[in-house]
Amino acid sequence: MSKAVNIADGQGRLYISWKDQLTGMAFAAPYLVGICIFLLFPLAMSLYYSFCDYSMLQPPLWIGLDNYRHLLTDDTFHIALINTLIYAAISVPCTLAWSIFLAILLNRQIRSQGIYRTIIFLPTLVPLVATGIIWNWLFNSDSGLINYFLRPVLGLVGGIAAHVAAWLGAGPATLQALHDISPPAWLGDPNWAMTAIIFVSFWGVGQTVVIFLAGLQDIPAELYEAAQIDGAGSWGRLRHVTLPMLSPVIFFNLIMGIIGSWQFFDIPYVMTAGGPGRATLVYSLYLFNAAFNELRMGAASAMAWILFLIILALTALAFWSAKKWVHYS
Amino acid sequence: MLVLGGAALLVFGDKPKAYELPNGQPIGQRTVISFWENWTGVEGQAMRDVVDKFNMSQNRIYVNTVEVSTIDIKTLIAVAGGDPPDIVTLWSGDMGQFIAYNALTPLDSLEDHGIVTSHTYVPYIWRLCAPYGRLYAVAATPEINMLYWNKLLFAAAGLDPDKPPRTFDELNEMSHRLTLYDSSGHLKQIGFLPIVPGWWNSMWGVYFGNHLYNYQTGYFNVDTPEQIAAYSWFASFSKQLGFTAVDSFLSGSEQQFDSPLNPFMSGKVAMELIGPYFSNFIKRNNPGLAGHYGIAPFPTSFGKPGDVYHGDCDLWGIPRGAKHVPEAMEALQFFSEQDNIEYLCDKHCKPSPLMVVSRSFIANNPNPYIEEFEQAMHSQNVEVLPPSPIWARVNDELANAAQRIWYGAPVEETLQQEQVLINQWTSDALRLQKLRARQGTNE
Repeated sequence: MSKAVNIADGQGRLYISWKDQLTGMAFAAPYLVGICIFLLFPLAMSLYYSFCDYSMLQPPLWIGLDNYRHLLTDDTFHIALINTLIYAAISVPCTLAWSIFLAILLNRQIRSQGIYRTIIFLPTLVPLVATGIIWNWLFNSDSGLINYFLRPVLGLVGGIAAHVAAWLGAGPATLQALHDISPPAWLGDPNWAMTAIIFVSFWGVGQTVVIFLAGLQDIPAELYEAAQIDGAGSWGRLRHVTLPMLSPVIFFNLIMGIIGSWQFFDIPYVMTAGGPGRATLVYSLYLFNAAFNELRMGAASAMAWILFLIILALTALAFWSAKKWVHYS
Repeated sequence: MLVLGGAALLVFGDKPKAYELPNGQPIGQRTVISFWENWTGVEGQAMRDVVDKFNMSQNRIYVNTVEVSTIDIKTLIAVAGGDPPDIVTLWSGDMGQFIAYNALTPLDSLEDHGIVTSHTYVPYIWRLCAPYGRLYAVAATPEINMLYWNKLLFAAAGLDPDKPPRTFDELNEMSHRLTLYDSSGHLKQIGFLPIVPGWWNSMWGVYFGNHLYNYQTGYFNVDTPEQIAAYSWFASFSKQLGFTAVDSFLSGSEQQFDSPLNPFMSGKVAMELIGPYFSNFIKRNNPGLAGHYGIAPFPTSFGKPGDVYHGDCDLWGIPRGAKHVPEAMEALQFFSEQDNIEYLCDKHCKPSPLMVVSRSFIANNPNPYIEEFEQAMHSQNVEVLPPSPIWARVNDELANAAQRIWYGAPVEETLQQEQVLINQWTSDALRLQKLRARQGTNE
């Protein structure tokens, strides 16, 4: 075994013998070779293909910026972009808030705490395809469990609303509409399909909850005691102790949420295939269709690079804003 | 640990299967060719029977059948990767893309030796096999769509059970009479639904006189008056019944033709436009209906039923880069023999793609309406899926446009937008094709 020789010169620089350097490089080589073959090379090629007409069956044909230019005028691409934006804008903050809420509940010292934690984490162990199929059944407009429970609730609400409307002198058409109020055809109605998909994203928050739980347990109890002595109630402790102390964890989950939401693919692929009427066509699904159904690898590569830039910009924005709200202890 | 695990797998793991003939004998020194097949179940078994027969018929070649889903994309990727199967079953809609990408081996030798010529098949099948005049595939089992109607439901609605609709007005009127609601106002039964099974939502214009594809120019006719009339008719069902009510009605059903929950099979929808294979599954899934349905050509807006049909066919081709082309040609020649084609079509409950069929094929066919289907096969007016290089993309776009129209988008405006978009795609594809031809980068 060669002896590690690290000698600091007068200015604090380290010198490592060439033999040690070679040894280090040899140990890192499998990783470096892997990263070059499986990451850097494909990345470079996809950048090149994004300027080509390329189907994999013919040699790439250089077409300059055409793929990018076409995306600017491609209505379907715009729909996919807007759908993903809507999904990200709603699902990321809502799942974050929901996860924090669940983590705070699970952090309380109650009996059978482990069982509750397991229950919350369990859905993340179910394969996403199975999750999608199960939710397809749950959202079935006629025989799904969700509408099974919603139907009597809406019937009751509609009946009460009709009575109130009648008392206020509403016309027969309004009264009939209130009586006929019924649950939506979730996945069969373009106006509701995205809502259903967003709803499903709440199902898999287990991992985020576990990270928040770890963050909550890192907050020193003395801070809560000090806040309590200063007269802070539950809300005050949450606002002035829990959330600021948890902000690095929130920031981490926000970044992961942004990335995940823009790469969102499996649930709409399994549940709706982007329909009805492209209501749930998200960015990655459109990219996948272009690449693997239509073999437009050039266009798909261009989309992938635009997606990379979008995620990069949003992540940079999150980092910039972090200076204002993330507090490292 | 990894090394130990790998060694354990090698020692105790599953050994590669040695190929065997149907009689259990080893295949010896035969050349093994791979055949990717897209059918499973009853249809897949029929194909395996023909392959077994081929394997037993000679002692030089062994065909190894592999059932593959999403076969078109997997084959293209295999061709790109340089390791395609020797024979592949294709959907007819794949032909344009496969030919444009040079992903198929031309079957010139079969044509040159007179084994498969333009006289072998009925006219529309030849158009599918040789869309631009050169033979790229041979026919497996065809389908031609007909209107199935449930005679029991017709009788219950006070309609003549032996009289199918002959015009669109009659179809609409009968559908109206066959549509029933339960006491709470929910749909209980529907006469006709153009979204069941929903596979040819891009092809409704056919029955209104539209020719979707211009073979000379390579462009599509998407917003013609005939197409607008077709999709206005299509949308009228959604408007009358309400798309949420229809969704709720269909939510307990399955669109698959082989499912007992198919709305026609379960008596929820009284009429359906579908292919000959449907008879096979009616017999299996709802024997009670077997003697109580009829089939008829679909109405046309410009003439009588049967003035135009929509036809299709599964095809066999040899992918570019296949390693055993002469052996694959020999297998295709065997598969294409009349008795083998008739055996397959019989088991699929389909008519034959061949110009000449045997008497026994008609006499023994399990499809009670085989003569009607055979007659339709010989029509000169059968519209097929366009052999365009961009058909996969256009089909997806048109099916999506139909979906949006179903959900209330204005028909004319939607089709006009689609026309502009698809024109753009077509001109781009043609421009790139020319550019590639100039640069010699077609292969």
